[in-house]
Amino acid sequence: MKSIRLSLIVYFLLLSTAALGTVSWLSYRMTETSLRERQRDSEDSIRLQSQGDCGRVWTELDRRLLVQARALARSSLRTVHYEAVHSATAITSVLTPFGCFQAPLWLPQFPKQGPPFGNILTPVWLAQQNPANPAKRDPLREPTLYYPRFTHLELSDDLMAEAHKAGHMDYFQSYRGFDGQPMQRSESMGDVWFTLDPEHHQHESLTEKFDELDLKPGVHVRRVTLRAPVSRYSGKVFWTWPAPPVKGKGGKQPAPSPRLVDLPTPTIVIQYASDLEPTLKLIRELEQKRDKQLAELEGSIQEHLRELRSELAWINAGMLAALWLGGILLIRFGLSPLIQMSDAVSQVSVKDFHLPLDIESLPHELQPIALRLSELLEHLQKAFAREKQAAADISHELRTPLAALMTTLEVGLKKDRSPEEYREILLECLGSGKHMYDLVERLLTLARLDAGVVQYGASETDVTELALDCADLIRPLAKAEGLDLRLHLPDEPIVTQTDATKLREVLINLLHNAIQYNKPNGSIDLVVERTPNRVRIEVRDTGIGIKPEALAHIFERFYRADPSRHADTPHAGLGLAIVKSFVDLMGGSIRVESSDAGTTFIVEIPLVAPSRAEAAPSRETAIVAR
Amino acid sequence: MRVLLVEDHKPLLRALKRGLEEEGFAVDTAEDGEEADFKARGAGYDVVVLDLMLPKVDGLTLLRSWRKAGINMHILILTAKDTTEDKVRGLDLGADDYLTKPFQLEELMARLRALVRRRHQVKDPILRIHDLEIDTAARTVKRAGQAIHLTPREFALLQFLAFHRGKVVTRTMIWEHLYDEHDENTSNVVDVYIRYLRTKIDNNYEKKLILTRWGEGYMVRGDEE
Repeated sequence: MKSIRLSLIVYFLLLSTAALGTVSWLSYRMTETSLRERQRDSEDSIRLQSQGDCGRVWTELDRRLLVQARALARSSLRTVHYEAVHSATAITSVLTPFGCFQAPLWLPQFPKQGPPFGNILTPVWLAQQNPANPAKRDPLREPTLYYPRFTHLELSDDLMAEAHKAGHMDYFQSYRGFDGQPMQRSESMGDVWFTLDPEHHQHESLTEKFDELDLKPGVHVRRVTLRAPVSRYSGKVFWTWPAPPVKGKGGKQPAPSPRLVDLPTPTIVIQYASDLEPTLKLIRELEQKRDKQLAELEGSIQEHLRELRSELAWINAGMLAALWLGGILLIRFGLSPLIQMSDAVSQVSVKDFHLPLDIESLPHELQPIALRLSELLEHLQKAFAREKQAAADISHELRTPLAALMTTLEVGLKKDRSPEEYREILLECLGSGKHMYDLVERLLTLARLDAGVVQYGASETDVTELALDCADLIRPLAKAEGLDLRLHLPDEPIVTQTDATKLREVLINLLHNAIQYNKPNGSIDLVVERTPNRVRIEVRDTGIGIKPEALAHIFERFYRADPSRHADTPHAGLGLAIVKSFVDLMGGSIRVESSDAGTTFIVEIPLVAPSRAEAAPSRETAIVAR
Repeated sequence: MRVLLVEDHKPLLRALKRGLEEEGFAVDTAEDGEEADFKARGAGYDVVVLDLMLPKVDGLTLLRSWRKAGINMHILILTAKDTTEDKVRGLDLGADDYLTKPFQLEELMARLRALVRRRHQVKDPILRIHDLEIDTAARTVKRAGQAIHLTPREFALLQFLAFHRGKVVTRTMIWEHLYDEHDENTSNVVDVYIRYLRTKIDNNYEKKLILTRWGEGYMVRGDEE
């Protein structure tokens, strides 16, 4: 993407969206996991509870069956005992007002063998055990099994309440002994008979046995089979009965007295069954309830998760909106220095190089850029100024001799003159022409140096001899100015591989400068000496020296320590620039030391010719000079 | 008219000096700022031709200091600096005219003549005194319609007198304005030139225009006389 701002915004948003999504997903997952765990716990507890409830239902059923069975057993036992006692005491049916009665109507199927149902008193009495004070009766220990209804017995409501309410029946049947002699059986049994498993009841005498069976088509029952009496009675019972009624009127009935009677105790097997339908219905209801609870739980969990999802969605939307806004603002804020900088840069023009920017106020990251930029601009401004100055200087330097030439010619042409005068004028013109030629030559040399087309022709050169030549050339000039030119040359030749023409140019230039900027009656020293791998040439004058602030610039083109000019010198501030370029080309170095006692230029050139690459003028010099 | 030429480029200086002298100017020269300052403060020049880039003291500094010191000679800046800023700066510092190098000699001469006229508060380049006509531009003189040939120096003298017509001009004044620093100050050199002028201007005419005020100097007859 081209725009930093756009890409930053996009990346930022992608990142933040991804982060937000991940966090949301994780939190959702965690919440869901914990919810699911809780759900599992709750389900377990619901199942356990339901299981417990079902168990309790079964237990309750079994307990009820047992209670009924035991009550029935007791009742049967009492019946047996009663019969036994009565037969033993020979008080029989004579006294019984209802002696003619047959067995109760609800037990018509009982076989009429012996007296079991002969004495109607027995059940009535049993039923009326504690009729006056039913509150005292413990229904568990003494359930009222029957109650008299006119001449027959009916099953107690207490016993049958639940069964009746549920619209189904309890079933029971009792046997005397294991030989299958039936004693009592419920009316509900109809023509169905419980079978007896004598094997079991003979051996597992004391335990009640529960089982389930299909009594008749469509009737599934749970049955308990119980043996009575329990063995610890071992045939002996305390028996309380009412004393035989006394004959005669008004006589008091004797009080009943308990008596231990050793009675024959036949084994009575009770089978009591109850229809399973209500229980199963109950279980089904419980299971339905459990399933409903589980479904509710699942629903609530789903609801929770849905709420969580919607909350997360809202939070995410809000966060995203905030991130968008915040991100855009942040990025705008973050990029503002860049924009500021770009504005500042766009204000820079050829006319105003100043970077209108407070660099200190920029962020650290941008400071080096701004600093470098403003440095560059400063350089550029200087270069522009220098170029402008150079153009002005060149035109100025050319205009003055041109003006002189033209003026001389115009004056010469103004009137007829003698040949001598013409000659004089022509010589003046020639002088101006030469001056301009020199200037143009120097400019061209510099231009060629810049263009890199100056040839470097290294040849074997004796620097000592070359210095001597230059000194000879310059001596008349020095003498004319009243200066003393002193040479300090080694005795033996110093042979180097260098461009003699350029070295000569350098020396002549330096010596000219030394003459030009010297004090009257000063001196010039030319020193040539050999260092381990270089030749060192010094040109020392006794002039006024160069100001320290000017020292850094003296090798720049058109730079003059003194902005005014010396008449008649084709100097123009180009000489030292050319010297520097030449020395660079030769692979040497030039430096200047100056004090108010004079200036010394020190040139060092290598003994062997530099390679082509080293010889190339340093780019920086070229740029600065340009 | 006496001119101070301040120019550090010797060939130009020589050519200008020759050219101006042949036009009848008395020319003094200075090659650097110090010399120019010394000469300008010493003698009353009609016009200074001033280069700006000078050794020792530059032209603008000179100009500023002269104007500050109340030296009110006319100054023509003759320089290679041709930008508008340079011209504005020069003129605003008190220069009367500005000419850039290279230039046509004729233009320089015309500007110098204009400056001289301005110095004498004359607008018409032709000075008319009775039947004498002096064309300061063409440098010709006529009397009663008849052309009279004068040498540059004679012309300069006549022109100087004419600029001061009706007023007495002392020999010192003439000396100071018409002769340069190299001319030998012999007592009668002015008188000799006056005689030459009279010979050419007045000899053949009834009315004498060049009058002698004994003990004071000379004068050209004014209009009322």
